[in-house]
This record gives sequence, C-alpha cells and structure tokens, in this order.
Amino acid sequence: MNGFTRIPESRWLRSRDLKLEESSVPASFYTSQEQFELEREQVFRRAWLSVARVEELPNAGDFVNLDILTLKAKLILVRGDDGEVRGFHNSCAHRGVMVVQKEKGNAAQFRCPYHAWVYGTDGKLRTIPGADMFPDVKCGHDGLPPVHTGIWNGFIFVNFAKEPEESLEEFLGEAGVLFSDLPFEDYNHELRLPQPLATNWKHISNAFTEGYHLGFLHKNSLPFVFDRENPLTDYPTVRFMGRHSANITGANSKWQPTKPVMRFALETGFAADAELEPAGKKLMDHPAINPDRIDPIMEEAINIFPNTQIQVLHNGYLWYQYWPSGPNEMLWDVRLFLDRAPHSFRTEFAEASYVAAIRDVMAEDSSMGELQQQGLISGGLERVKYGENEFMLRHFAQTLTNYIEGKV
Amino acid sequence: MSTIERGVSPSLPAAFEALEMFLEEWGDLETEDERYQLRRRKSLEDLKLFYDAVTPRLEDVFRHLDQFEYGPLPRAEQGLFRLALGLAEVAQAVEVIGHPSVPTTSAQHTIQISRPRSLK
Repeated sequence: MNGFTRIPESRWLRSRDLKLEESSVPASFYTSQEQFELEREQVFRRAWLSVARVEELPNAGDFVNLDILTLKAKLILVRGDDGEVRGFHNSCAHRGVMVVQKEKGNAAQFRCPYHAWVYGTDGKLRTIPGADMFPDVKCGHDGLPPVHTGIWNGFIFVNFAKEPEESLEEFLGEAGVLFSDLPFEDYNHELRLPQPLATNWKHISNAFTEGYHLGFLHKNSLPFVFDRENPLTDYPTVRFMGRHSANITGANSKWQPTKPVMRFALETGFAADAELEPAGKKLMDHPAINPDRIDPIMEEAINIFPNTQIQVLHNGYLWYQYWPSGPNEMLWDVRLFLDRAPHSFRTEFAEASYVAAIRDVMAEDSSMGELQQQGLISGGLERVKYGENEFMLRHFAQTLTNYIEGKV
Repeated sequence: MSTIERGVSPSLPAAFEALEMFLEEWGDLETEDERYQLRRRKSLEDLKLFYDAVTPRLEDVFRHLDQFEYGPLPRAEQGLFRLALGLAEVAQAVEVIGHPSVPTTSAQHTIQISRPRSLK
C-alpha cells in the first residue's frame, strides 16, 4: 500500500481500499505502562527523532540544550569549528554532572562546574585538572557521551541507539527523497507554543491524521474547512510512504469571512502581506506538495514516524513533536514558522488574531485528548474503534506495533 | 462628575474617549497569555460589551496608529493598541467559540507563547 493514493472521483478512500482491516485496538494501547515502556525502548530509543532546525545553530560554537522528555535525556547539540552539528549527552565524563546549564548560546568550549573538566565543541576532553589522577582517561579521545545526529532538509534528527539500525536517509526513505528540498529555510519568524498535556501522545497524533472530527469539533473554529459536499471532511489526497505518510486537508471554496474582526484581521494582515514580495520560495507551491493541485486546500501534513508532523501552510509551516513521558502525560511541542515577522501595527494585530485562533483550535484538540484519556482510564471501554475513514490511525497503530516487534 | 486626573490615570488619544472604560483591565496586558487569561475570567456578556464597543472603531484605531512608526508608542497610543490586541482575543470568544474560551479546556489551561527567532 505504498505510494500515492489517488481518491477515485466518485468516492473517498476507505480503510478497506488499503487492506487495513484492524478496526480497533485495545484501550491499553493508550493507557498501559507496559505499552509506554515498549514505545520508549523499542521506538523512541531506536528511531530517528526530529529535535531542532539548523537555523538555531548558524555559527561554530552555537549550541542548544534540549530535554528529551521521553528518554529523560539531556541533549546538547553543538556546531563544531568544522561546521558539523554533533549531539552529546549533557553529562561530564568524570562523574556525570550536566556540564552545560544555559538553554542555548555560543561557546568555544564547555567547562564542567564541578571539577573543571573542559570539553571542545567536538565533545572531546581538552583538559583535566590533575590529569595524572585519571591515567585511563585520554584528552582528545574521551569526552561527552555522543548521540547520533543527522540533518535532513534543515531538520536536525537524533538517534539514541548505540548503533542506529538504519541511516537517517534509510529511515526516511521515499518521504525523505520526495520532500528533500522543500524550502523550510525561508520561514524564520518562529512562534513556539509548547503544551504539556495529561493525555497519551498517540491521541494528539491521531487527531491530526483524520479529518472526521473537523466538521464537528472545529465547526466554528475552522469554518473555512467544512464543506457540505464533504460532510465527513475526508482528505482529498493521502500518500503513504512506508512508515511515513502525508495528508491534505481541503477547504471550502465558497467560504468568505463574514465576522467583522476575523475579516479585518485577514484583510489588514495576510491579504496585505500577499501584496508584498514573498520573503522566500513558497512551500505551498513546491511540486512535491499537493501534486494534484487541489484548490483550495488548508494544508498538507507530512507525518514522519514516530512523533513528528510538519504541516505545510499557505503562510509557513507548523512543526509538531509529540513527546510522551508516561502513558498519561506528554509534551505537545508546537513550533510555528511564518515567512515574516509583523512589520506594522496592523500585521501585529493580524498575528495576534491568528495566534488566538490557532490556540483555540489546538485547545479543542488537546482537551479532547485529555477527556479521551480520562474516559479510557475509567476502564469500561475495552477497545478503541478506528473507522473506515480513519485509515491513517489504523496505519499508524500497525506501523508502531510492527516497529516495536522489529518488523519494519 | 470625574475625579480622574489626566496624565496620571490611563487615557486614550482624542476621539477614543468612549473606550477608556476598558483601559484599566486591558491597557497593561503585554502578552497573548495575559489577554487570554483575562478573556477566560470574564463572562461572555462582559466580553460582548467590549466587542461591541471596540469592533466598530477598529479601522479608526489603525488609521490613527498608521501615523506612527512601527515600534514603541506614546502611552495613549500604546493603550489604544493594547485594546485592539485585546479584541483579537475577545473576538475569538464572541465571533468563533461562543463562550469565553473553549468550554472543554481545564480551568488551568495556558499556552506560554514565545518567539525565539522573531525579527522584532
């Protein structure tokens, strides 16, 4: 079932077309500690995970200090003098102290605050006070414990396995090739909206791979999506690329903003900005995006297994990372990249309206995730059902299970 | 009868005096989350009062602000702009959600928004 799935004109794609026959999973798939531990050890500790953008580390010595919640890993990403981005556990080779405390910055070297062991930006030990006390430790050789790091189209991925089973290129496969030159680097006005949630991470992932709820939960908050002719908001295009996938959410061609403030914000902000020279190449115009040129669309979402979704929007992109810290807790890390920062009071107002609008949409989704988890923990529902129109949820559950079992 | 001393209490530019009643609550809020939390604390009726008063003046507000270079504003204009930013939140309640905020969210719901690579 790999490759491009064109929807027949007469009807929408259904699970049976893809031979995804498993129409339910046990509730414990979302609630059990055992399942979480399998995911942590057999997925998050084996798969390549997107964690940063290269624009965060433009110069030699630039570093970011990340907390990889799922693995309780303290990760330093640093650009070395040779231009390479490397990853390390933030843990002194001596007795384990977190060497770097700053969230981000630029450093010529890292010095442990405890006994002043000094590391280069390549992670190697440079000096140890009283080095003859440690005859087995070699400067220039030993250092901060490394984490495998790779870059795909400006996204920095890490892999916490001792030896990754696949290279990043192999892991991304066809999706990595297809989307390899999308111009993400042109979108540099970033808004970050991290959300700690009391839910299972897969509920939030699921919400962004089915259109079924859009016309109900978001009837008012995404009014431009709902289309009478597509009452279950089926995706006009879905693509499967091995364990990864992409889905397009359409829009209603007849929708016009009628509410005064929403209309003012659109006209004074985005419509006005559309008259300006584009800040860069347009993501949405790239031939790999929306290959059927369906018009209008709201977005195309690229799902990179296991916990990344990149949504290509008309004015930028959203980058979601889902980080479980237990069966019932997660961080939904939302990063929104727009093509330009506000450059007038009008565009600042438009951005404030836009942010308020997407916050409310996300609040609808995250609250469903939390209510869903409480409902499942209640213990009465034995199986969670996936409809004929929720084939991406079936695909994801199957992919995750296969990956845990070492089959994909 | 007013005992408010100009220059001490908040005030708005001339022609926007009718909106001064909203300044005390909305005029000092600096972040999206502060405006969101105020929106959540208020009743929909209160939010509608604000919405009905500010919305018809929105174009006037920005025509006035258009005269200023984008950046720090004089105090009166800053108050006016913050009312407009408040409306960005309030309009979500009145025009879109039909409640002060998404009714299924928990009382503690908050999203701290940051702009790590803002060009501002």
